[in-house]
Amino acid sequence: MKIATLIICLLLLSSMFIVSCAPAGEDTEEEADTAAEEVADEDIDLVGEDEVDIGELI
Amino acid sequence: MKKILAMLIGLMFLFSAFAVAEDADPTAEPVPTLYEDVETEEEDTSEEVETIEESSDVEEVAEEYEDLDEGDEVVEEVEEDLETDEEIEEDLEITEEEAEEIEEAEENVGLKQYAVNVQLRHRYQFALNQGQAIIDYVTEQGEDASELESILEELKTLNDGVDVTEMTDEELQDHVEKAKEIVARFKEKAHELVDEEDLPAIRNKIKAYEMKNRKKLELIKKKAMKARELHNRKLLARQMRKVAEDARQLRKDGQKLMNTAERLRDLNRVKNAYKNGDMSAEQAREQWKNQVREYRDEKQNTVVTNERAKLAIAAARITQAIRQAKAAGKEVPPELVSKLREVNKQIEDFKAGKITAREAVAKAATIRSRLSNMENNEQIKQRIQNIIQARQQIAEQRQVIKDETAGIKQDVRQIEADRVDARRAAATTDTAAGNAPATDATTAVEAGDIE
Repeated sequence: MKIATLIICLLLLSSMFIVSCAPAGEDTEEEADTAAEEVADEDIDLVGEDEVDIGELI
Repeated sequence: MKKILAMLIGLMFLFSAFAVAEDADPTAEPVPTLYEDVETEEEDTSEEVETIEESSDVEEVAEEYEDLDEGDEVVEEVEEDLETDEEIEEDLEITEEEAEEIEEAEENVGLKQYAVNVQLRHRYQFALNQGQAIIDYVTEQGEDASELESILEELKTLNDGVDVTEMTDEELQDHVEKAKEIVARFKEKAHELVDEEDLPAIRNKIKAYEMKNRKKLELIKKKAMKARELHNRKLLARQMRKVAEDARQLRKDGQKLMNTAERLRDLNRVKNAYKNGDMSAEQAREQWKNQVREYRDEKQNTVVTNERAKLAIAAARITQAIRQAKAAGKEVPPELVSKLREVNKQIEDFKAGKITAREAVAKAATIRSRLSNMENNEQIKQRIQNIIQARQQIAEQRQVIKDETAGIKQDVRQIEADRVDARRAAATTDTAAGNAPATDATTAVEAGDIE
């Protein structure tokens, strides 16, 4: 009987531990928030006038 | 055994407390009824009523917010300024033949790679032209230029291997490395054959060759410019469209744009400055980066300020209703007054820069639910409805005035345009009649003597 009570207690304890440590979807929220804050690309790949340089012949 | 069991139960309680603490997110959705149950302490409220009557911060925020422009005009202005891909192509005078090549390149390697590939072709053409000028100079000096000719032939072969519609970035890098090595070899050999004092004469010869092949070289230069501009302007327009859509979304979410509208304008200025040639691609790249950051930060502030102002409006309505109830000799529930005072404090602490937009929205939901509970109080419910109606009427009247003012401004613009037309017509008539432009007629039109 005592062993059964002990096992139940352990099971309860472990399940509560899992619940308390779980991130509860925090990451997903964080990702969604970042996406919502994303307006336009910060770094835009504009082509400059001198992107290619092969050097001078003289 | 009993001791172990007791310890385990103790641990269980400890963990359950930990779990509760983890769940107690300050920004979580509120449970108003719970809050109501907690708020039971009785206080002397006479002083608090006084505070509410004197407090004007929240009311000022509400007042100022109602006077603010929504920012729709700025979004419209930016959207009107946006160019479609077709308009950009038309503006750059892309020929049918070029359009076909661009389409093929876009499918194979993308527009950006095409623009860089054409630039490589442009560099090759100039280098081959220079090389030939140097070889001719060396030959004219009675030197043996056969080795230089052979090196230049290698560069020609490399150029012939360029397919601007298919060359990938990796292939281009490989090409550039090879070309650099050939060019360096040519330069070394050329310097063996000519003296330092020959260099000005060689440069003159190069210039003469460039003049001779001007049309061909300008053609490839123009092609490189068109490819570059097409890519850059399309990209800027696409990015600008995204920002304008973002601002539109803010408006759909019921937010006034405030300073975000100005940041939107700033981004549009970067796009236009590049388009008009007032900014290089490098400058535009840098400016764009800064301005997008500014826009994003300002958007955060805007959301916080909007949420704060909306709460302030609701709180100001309750304050006003309490005042009216008191003036009518009604007894105002003391807990209502103390709650309002608390909410007012919370609103005043709601500062842009201190909390994120996300936190602001979550906190606003908590406060809003408290406010709506207060609004249900029997003593002030009807009064709040009346205040809302009165404010709506004022808002409608303001809109009418705004529309009328816009109409008057439009009329003034039309009159001015008509005057300019009349002045031009008078000048054309006089010129046709062989007279000097009749200033009298113009003056008369301007003075309104002639319709």
